Amino acid sequence: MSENGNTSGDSGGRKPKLPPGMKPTSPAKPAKPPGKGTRPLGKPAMPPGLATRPPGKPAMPSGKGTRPLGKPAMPPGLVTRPPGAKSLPPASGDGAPAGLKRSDFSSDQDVRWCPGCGDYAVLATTQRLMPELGIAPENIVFISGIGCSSRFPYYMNTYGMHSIHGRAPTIATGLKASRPELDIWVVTGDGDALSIGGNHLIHLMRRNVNLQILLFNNQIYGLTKGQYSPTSEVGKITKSTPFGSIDHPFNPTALVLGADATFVARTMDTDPKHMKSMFMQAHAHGGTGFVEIYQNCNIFNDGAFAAFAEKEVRSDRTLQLDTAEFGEMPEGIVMVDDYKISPPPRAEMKGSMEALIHHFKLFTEGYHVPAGETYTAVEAPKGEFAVYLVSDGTHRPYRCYIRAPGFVHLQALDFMTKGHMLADTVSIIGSLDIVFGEVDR
Amino acid sequence: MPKKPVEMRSEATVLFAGDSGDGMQLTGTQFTLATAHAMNDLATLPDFPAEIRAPIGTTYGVSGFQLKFGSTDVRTPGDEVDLLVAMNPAALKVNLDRVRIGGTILVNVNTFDKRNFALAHMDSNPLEDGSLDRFRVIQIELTRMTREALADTDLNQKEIDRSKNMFALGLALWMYSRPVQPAIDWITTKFADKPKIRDANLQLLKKGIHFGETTDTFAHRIEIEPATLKKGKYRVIQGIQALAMGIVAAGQKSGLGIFYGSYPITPASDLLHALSRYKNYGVMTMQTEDEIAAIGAAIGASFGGGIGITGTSGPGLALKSEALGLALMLEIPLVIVHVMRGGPSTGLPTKTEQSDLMQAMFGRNGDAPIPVLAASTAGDCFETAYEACRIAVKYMTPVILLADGFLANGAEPWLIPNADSLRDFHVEFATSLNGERDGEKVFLPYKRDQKTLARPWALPGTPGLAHRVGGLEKDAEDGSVSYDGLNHQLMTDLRAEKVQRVNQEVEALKVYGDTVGDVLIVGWGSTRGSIESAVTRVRNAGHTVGTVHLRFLNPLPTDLAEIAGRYKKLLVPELNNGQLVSLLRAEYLLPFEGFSQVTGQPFRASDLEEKILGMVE
Ligand SMILES: Cc1ncc(C[n+]2csc(CCOP(=O)(O)OP(=O)(O)O)c2C)c(N)n1
Ligand code: SF4
Ligand SMILES: [Mg+2]
Repeated sequence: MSENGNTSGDSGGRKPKLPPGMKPTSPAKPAKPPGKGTRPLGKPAMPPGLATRPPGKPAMPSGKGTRPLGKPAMPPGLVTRPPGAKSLPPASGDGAPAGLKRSDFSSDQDVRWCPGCGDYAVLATTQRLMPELGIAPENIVFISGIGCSSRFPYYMNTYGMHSIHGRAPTIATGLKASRPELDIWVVTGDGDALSIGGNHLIHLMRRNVNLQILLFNNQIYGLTKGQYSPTSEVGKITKSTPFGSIDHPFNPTALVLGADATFVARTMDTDPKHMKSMFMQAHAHGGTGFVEIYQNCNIFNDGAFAAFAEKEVRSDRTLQLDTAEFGEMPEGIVMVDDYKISPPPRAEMKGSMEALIHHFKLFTEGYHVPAGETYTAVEAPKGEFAVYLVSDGTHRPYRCYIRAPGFVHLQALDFMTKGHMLADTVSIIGSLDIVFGEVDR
Repeated sequence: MPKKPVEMRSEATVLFAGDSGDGMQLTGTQFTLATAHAMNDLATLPDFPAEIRAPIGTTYGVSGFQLKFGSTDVRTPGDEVDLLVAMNPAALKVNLDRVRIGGTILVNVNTFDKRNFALAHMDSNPLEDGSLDRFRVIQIELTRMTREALADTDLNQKEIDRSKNMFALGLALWMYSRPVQPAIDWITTKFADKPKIRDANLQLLKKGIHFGETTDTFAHRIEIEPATLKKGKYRVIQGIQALAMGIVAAGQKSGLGIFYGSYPITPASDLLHALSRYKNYGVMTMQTEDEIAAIGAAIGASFGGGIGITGTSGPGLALKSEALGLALMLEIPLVIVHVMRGGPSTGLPTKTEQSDLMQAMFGRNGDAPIPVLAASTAGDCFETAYEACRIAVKYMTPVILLADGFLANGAEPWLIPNADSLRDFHVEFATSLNGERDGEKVFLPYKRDQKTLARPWALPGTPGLAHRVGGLEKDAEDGSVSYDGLNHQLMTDLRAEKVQRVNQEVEALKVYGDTVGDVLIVGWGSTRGSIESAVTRVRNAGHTVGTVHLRFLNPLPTDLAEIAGRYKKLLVPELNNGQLVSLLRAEYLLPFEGFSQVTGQPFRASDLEEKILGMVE
């Protein structure tokens, strides 16, 4: 795709019908304005179709003025808003017309993404999802910005608006505020949402407007033919960064979480099942449902997510974090209620001598560790950081040994400084990048 | 005690000036209210600094409120001031050149000390160095008298000093024989839950009146007869309030919801404040994260079937331009209320100017014509706002309404209109299929009304009419994306023609003054009062001049050329560097002459008078 678009199927010299009063014009010989320069001085050229009216007599639209005063005719099912009512007319029937199919949601427009583009999968998934939502197509609105992904609304047989770069969240907010009964989906790209529209994105999250936002992240500007985007990695070579990008990329989910998003999900174009489930849950959420989609742009950034998104490696390299898999969390305070290990609540101490003693013992002595030994290691910046502990069953360790990786490195200092000036020691230590807090215990 | 004699006058101009913290705007507003109760015609000019509380005593911290009132038609806040109330030396310094020679200057002499002279960068005491010889100076120990009057209260020094404007108000009310009750009522309600402050203010107000009555300084008081205004119910209205009410009226009359999105900016913020109080009239307001979001949200609301409105000032309009282009392309109703201020960039935020006309006309990419209307008086703001909404809906187009800081903040008596007298505002949404393709009935979202060229307004939620709109060029009928060259030519022509057809709504221009003569003055926006006052004066001097005032800047009126042909010379005064004059020359190919002023202040009628006299002699 290119920004100025592929030639459309409907091009060709078809002459559109003109309303009365409009003369047809051709690029070769425009009929309007008819020779501005030749018009007699002082007489403005009237727009064609407008009769010159004598001075002093306003030309009133004929007929219009005589119509009886009244409320606007509403579409069927719309209720006239009584003066003073808060919202605009609600949409018709909230129930879903039964028996809708995927095809009912695809428009008559030819889809014009590049063959193989990840956008197709998202469109298909969305069209497949729609009938399951149980919402009449006329009550669904897709609003997008600008970008390859933002062509999306044209392909959905619902109400839709392809707006301007980065501003879809603002339009969606205004629409939702005045027509809360509509089901609104915002479609945006990584450039659209995070670069030019970054401000609107965070404020949408802050306001938690009840709509869904689908962020197509292909880590590139697709429509403008391949410049790096706010999610492109450092060092990315593109047309605008021939020596590699030096900008640090955003993590969209971290960004929206920072803006207090209430529903955040991430999915990928290669896993339609998961995608559909994420869309469904975002839709069910009563605030802004944010879904980032890793989407492959096979023209300008092919394989950006291949390392984990491709079918062969996906199960090995992805971990789906899903609240459903963790099971339901029990409600209430989570704390061990063994008072030999954790202190009793303050309130209890006021009434129970037992609790008071536990508290006292715990804070003067600490807890008693069962007899035995343990070696536990974690990964630290310079290597393995480990603790070896031996307990004899009392509240103090019998033996404690800490293996700090920095300390091991520091021992090299002896060899490295030999033959150098004393003043070089500091630089040599620096070259070892020692974490002194870890060594010094 | 015998009452002092009264001197009758037909009009007067009063200017209250002091530090930003001296309460001058409030004093002026209360004096205005009393004047309205005295049934005088009036016009006001609040003039305040951009800083909220600039350092005390400095010239840039001076805040002023000017008011002209009279028993005849009052069209401007006055060229020359009859009474200047100066609360400190800086206020005197800043406003002295506005005072009529022989006019009265009332100063709070307690502030005329070395420190305040230094702060105002004055070398000597103006009360002693003879610089005020040509004026009548009244020195009053305002601070001392206020402190003495409130010595027995348990208010602290700061609270006491802050109320001295009430003393000044009382005295000014006495000097011009204004009714006191409105101020008493206001103080009583305003400080209902702070009885100590209430009592102190009331006491000082009365002290001010008694002072006028008893002191030897004033031999008489001045009275101004009520004006003979058309019969009816009046109220004092500021332009910004009238804009808000015009918008509300449009919502009520059309039955449509109003959505107002805005980002705070002086002087348009007051429209957000005003509209947010009309929640129970179906008005929804939203303070957005920036101007772009404000217009975006308004577009969303319009797409949903309301009247989307956004308001801004100065640089705010620049930010909205891209979205304005979108609204134009979508062909949905939208109203942008642009309250102009001094520019470019941040410019002079609190001063008035008309310098955004060209931006309103052309400030978008592509050939993007939009109807542009301008309000001309505080009261006219109501009607223009109503018209802007009506045209936006009827022609399915964004409309820009231009006002300015002077109009927005200035006030005048306003004859409250009858709701039935408002023009018909009928709205019809699309409910059914309107075309055919391949033998099948379809909805064509860009099939136009033959008379207005408006496209149908089909709201989301209407079964069977689901369609997609967007910023890409549309096919002239079915609205799908079209890159066809001929189609683009047609659509460009149609969008231009649609704006021209708005002329169907425009009433014929009315000439004020002579309908044939030496000079025709063409004005627009807030300069109306100054221009018409100047025209009256020049006519009184025996010359034949007339003026027309344009509400519609786009489309330009069709009858202007014919009217212009009846005069020898054409003059276009505006508060910018010559914008309308360029448009008129280009449109009508007539020798319009410009007269420009960009001082942050409205025209003085006398300056215009001088200019016009120079053209006739
Ligand atoms: C105001 C404005 N600036 C720039 C552009 C050009 N432009 C169109 S799309 C785009 C970036 C699109 O990138 P992204 O949002 O990631 O969408 P993708 O094409 O990758 O789906 C840019 C810069 C524009 N349309 N409008
Ligand atoms: S995102 Fe890439 S592959 Fe997809 S349509 Fe755009 S340029 Fe083509
Ligand atoms: Mg992208």
